[in-house]
Amino acid sequence: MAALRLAAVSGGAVTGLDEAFATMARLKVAAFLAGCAEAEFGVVSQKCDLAASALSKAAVTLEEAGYVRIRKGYVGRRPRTWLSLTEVGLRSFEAHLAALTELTNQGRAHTSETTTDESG
Amino acid sequence: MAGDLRAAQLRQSRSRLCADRGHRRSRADPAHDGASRRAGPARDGPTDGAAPVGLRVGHPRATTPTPRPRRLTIAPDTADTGVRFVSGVTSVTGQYLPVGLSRSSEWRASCHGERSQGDTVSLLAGAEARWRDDGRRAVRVRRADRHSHLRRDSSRRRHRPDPPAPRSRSAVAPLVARHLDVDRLSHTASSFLMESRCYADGMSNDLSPEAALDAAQATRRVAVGATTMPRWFPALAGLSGALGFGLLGVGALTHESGRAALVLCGLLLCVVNIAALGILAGKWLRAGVLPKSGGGASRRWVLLSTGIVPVPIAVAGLVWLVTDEVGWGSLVLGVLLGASTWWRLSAWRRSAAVR
Repeated sequence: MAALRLAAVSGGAVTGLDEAFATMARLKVAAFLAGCAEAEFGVVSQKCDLAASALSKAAVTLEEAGYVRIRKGYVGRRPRTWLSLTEVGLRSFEAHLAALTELTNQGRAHTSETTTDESG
Repeated sequence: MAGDLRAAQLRQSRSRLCADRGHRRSRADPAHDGASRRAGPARDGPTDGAAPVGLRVGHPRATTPTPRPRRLTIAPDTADTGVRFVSGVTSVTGQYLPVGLSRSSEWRASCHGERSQGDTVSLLAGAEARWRDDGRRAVRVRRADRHSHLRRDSSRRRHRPDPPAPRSRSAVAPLVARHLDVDRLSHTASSFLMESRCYADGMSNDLSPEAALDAAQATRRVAVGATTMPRWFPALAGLSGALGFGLLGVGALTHESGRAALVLCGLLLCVVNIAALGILAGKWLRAGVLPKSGGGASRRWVLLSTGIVPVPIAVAGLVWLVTDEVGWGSLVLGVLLGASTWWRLSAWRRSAAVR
């Protein structure tokens, strides 16, 4: 999926927003995996408060984008599915967070300016 | 005579047979006119009388090429911001700052007619987009028609008939006017929002970048917090390693009766050290979350701390060579390895806590 590039009218361009993290489910999965080396499917589902179906869909989508690696393993005799973020995925996620931060800062700056204009 | 009669009958039957075969062959001919009539007229396609594109002649159900989806376009360069609705057309002109994400494959608008130059933004039926124009006025555009027949899956685009026009436009017009009357909209710049199904998933559609950022950071902290180690663990790992190798070294240097006891204690402490690390790794494995190397530390720190590990071993080896006593080498190894282990694990725990 190609990443979308959004240009700001005023100020600098806002880049780095990735369509792969468009949904909250995918964003949360990427955020959780960015905080650890590898995580088990059930744990991710529980900690991110996502249904198994939603997590599965999000994981598959991110895997297709090359951001997540899915590995089947065992803990004892129990089969487990492990998810991990790839290097590319981590970089894209960090860029996405940076873009969200920039958007948030721009919004706050404009809000404060407009509030000043109205009061003045 | 009888032979001639029989020959004539044979000729007649052969000619009848050939005529039937020829008729059947002509019916299977793709150029046969009847096939196109059976398949029906194509909605789109060439009008020169040839078979329409995508039409399988002879097949009762013909496929037609799917038209391109209609999209709402926005002009980025026009100074004024204006909104118009013309027969279901949504046209917004003006500079904009779209925020958030849109998956164009999921967004469709059944607009037609009016077009503007510029980038394209598609709106789902019932969806809303907000942005600010160059005059810092908040502009919202809402696709009021909730009965869009355009499908979401781009791989199965089919032309669908437009939804029936509402009986009275007065029901739609006020909604449009309320949302799209730029003069009445507050000039206070609200937070940038792009209402879309991208951030739906059972959650609020109205999710700002700030909220998304907060959610992402909170989730990341949850992951890091799931793999912390106890506060006493770095000290335990460092001390047990240092004492274990140290006692082994002292035992090797001692030639008295207590040598066996010293070596036994040293071995026990080394086993405790290895077991503690193994128990911690097993706890992480059972919890289902494996921490990153170095916790949340930077890559440079991880490389540095990993590179430190061979240093005590190399120093201990040098001491052994110099003194020719394995006991001294083991003593030095214990001290250096224990200290480095304590330092690395403490730094790891601190960086994880910070994140």
